[in-house]
Amino acid sequence: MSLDDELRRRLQQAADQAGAGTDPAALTHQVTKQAAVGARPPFRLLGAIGAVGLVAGGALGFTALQPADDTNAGGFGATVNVQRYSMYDCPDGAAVGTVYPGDRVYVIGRNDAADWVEVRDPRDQTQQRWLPAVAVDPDAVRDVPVVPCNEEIALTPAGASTTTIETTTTSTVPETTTSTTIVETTVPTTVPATVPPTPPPTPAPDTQQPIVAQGTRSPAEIYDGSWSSYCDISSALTVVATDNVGVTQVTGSYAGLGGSPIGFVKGSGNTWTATFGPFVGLPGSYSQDIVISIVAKDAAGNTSTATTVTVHVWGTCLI
Amino acid sequence: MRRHDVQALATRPDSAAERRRAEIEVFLSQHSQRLVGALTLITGSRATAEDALQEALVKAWHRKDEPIEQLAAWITVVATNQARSGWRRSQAEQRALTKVGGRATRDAAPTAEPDDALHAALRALPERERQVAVMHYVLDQSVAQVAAALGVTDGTVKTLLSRARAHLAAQLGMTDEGDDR
Repeated sequence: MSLDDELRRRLQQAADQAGAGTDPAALTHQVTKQAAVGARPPFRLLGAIGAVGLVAGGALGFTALQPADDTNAGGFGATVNVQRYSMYDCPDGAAVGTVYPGDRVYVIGRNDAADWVEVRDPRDQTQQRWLPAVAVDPDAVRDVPVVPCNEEIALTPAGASTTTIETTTTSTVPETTTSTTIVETTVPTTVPATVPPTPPPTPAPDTQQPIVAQGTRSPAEIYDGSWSSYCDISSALTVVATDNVGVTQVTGSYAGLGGSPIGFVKGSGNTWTATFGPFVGLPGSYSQDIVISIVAKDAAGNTSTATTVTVHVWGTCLI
Repeated sequence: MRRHDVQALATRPDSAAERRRAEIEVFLSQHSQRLVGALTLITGSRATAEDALQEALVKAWHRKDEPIEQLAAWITVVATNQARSGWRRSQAEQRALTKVGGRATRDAAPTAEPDDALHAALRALPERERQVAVMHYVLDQSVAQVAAALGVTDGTVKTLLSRARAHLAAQLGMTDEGDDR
């Protein structure tokens, strides 16, 4: 029996022993369940406040988000993008919470420049927060009404018979007038029709860390460059770095091989790129996973937590 | 799956999801033991292997344009990558720890290691060599299939395979005698 055949036989036997007792039905069930959780239905708001609808779910226990079966004029349900974002009480105001990738938020308005959106706090639907528009679908943002910060939108409490409340609010922004109409329920006399205004925002220093993610490297392994021109290659590194006020620097560091810091260069969008290698004159037996730790900094000096990419470096090259 | 079953599924509103589920069911009934075993050899943990396979299949679920049957190599790579991440490893360990004292952990029963020498030799391999060796020898994937799944050249796979083979042979005291390579 050849070496290959013998290795195949022993490895397959070991694998079958290691995998014995696997329950395909249970695995299928788990996969189906997880896949279903991943495909959440879109959401909508019911009722109407101007262009945005709400359903009251109690004095302050509102159930604003409902599974969608139609579209709603004005607002829209959105899933937070690939990273976490701080929520603010106003554009460029104080941070008041955080949303995470996959969170569903309901967008109810935007600022003039459409680079900030006002949303319902996914963990407390009674609260309005502001998010950078990049946190949701920026293209859809322009379809929601412009609302100034601290524009309080009436919430409809649960209760009683049907009536109509109409309020008209002229915003501080010229030419922007928001007509607000609620058609749903009567307001009990003991419950105010509107939420009291929140105090004006206090400017806060930027303490938000940048976020660096989606690190990639290609190729995943490089060789001693002295062997041939085929081997004399570097690995291209990319990361996506974001920050509320802007990333100013992305650097990579690693142990071994001299460990020279790697400076990343800003590419398109939030992408930063750098190269790792080539290396020459390594010992022939060298074979090491080099873990490159990448961090981003912003103008205020906040530093992100590191993301890592691993490149395997060989001291030889047989290709 | 019988023909009329497929036709029945096709008429249902959620037929796409049902069909995917059926595909995965068939795929797992045929390959789950070997795949879990292969991933256990790569990662060293049965619990991690099962979790990683599950995660990979969830990703495969959403690749609806590709038949699951053709995704064995892809699933192995995705699952291996899943298993590499530290959080997953620690999650699996955490779950295993919580089960101590209760019912048997998933690692306890099936991971008897009669071929200790082979397992030791595998553990001594660099991870990439181990991955390539298992994909080639255990899952019967060709050099080209492994290369495509890993996104590297055939030459890189050949190099890794050659090194893995030499390392395993040395560790296990095997010789090339009678080998045609």
